[in-house]
Amino acid sequence: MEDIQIIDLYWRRDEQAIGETDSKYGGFCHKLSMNILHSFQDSEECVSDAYIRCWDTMPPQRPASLRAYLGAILRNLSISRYRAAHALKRFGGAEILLSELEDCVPSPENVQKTVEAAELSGLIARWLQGLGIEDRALFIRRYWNGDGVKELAGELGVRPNALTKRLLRLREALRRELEREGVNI
Amino acid sequence: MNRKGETFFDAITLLPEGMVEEAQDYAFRKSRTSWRKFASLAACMMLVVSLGLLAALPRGCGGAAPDWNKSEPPIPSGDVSPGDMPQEPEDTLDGAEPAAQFTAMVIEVRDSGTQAILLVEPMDGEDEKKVADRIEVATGKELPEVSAGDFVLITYDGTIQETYPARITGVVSIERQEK
Repeated sequence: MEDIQIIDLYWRRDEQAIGETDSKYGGFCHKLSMNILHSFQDSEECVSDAYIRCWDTMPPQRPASLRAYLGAILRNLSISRYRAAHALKRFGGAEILLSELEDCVPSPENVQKTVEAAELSGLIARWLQGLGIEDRALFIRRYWNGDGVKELAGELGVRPNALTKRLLRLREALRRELEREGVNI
Repeated sequence: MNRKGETFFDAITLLPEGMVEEAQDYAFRKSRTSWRKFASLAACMMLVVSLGLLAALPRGCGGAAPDWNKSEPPIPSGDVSPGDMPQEPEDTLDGAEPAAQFTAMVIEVRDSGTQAILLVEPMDGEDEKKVADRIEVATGKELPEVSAGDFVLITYDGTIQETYPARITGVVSIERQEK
């Protein structure tokens, strides 16, 4: 079923919407949440919560891409659960993603203003737009989907070490761009 | 808690839906390196086996053995000038042996007078594309007439600096290609 038809089901308050969402994007959702939490049970609960959140927000929302919309909800739910688990000294897969993303933080001497997540998102989107499609897809698959380096290296047909270097270059390029913009995180 | 990393995480969550959707549907092109490695290995093994077989053949098989006692041909009298010696074919520009070549599309041309820099995107399928999708090609040589969108064949010494964009300084030649 097409996204637009599933979204129509939500708007008609037809419970089949959740079943159709699960059959189309269930695998994608579980993988995305697992990449962050590394816990089957936690990710299962997050995916169920994401479906409920979709039910609660459509209407009034009518997303252009159901997958991206669902994914954004799921990332928020998963990171909240990660924060709660982290407070209880339980460590999840987000640990690695967050530590890698720290490479993008501009150095304090090069910054002039502090930005919020929404503004930072706009800057990152503009920087991504200037990259080639392959680098852009690679960055998003690693840091939005949380896909593993080994998995991505397998898809690209390169060694994981080579991909790690390429990702490092991308993060450094983003850091330089943010420093040029003079932003603080 | 890693607050700055989490700010980035939240910012990435808010990326435009269209951009996220594009990345989900993008199919990466596999590098050809793996089969090339196997092909090179197979070629090397074939060479070793062939040489081994040739060495194992008894003298007399596969053609007449050379007559080592035969006298050497007479050397012509007179001095031999360097001009008489067989000449090696000339190398490319600067005498440097080209180590690598790739075709790329020009994105931007910057010419400061003393140095010209081309920002290029290697074509799909080129090995350089696996290293970087944007490469700055710096050269002091005169550039052919190129502008953004043109295709060029770049010959260089095989070294790519791992910056972003990546950078090539050991340029041997840049040739404009027909589309």
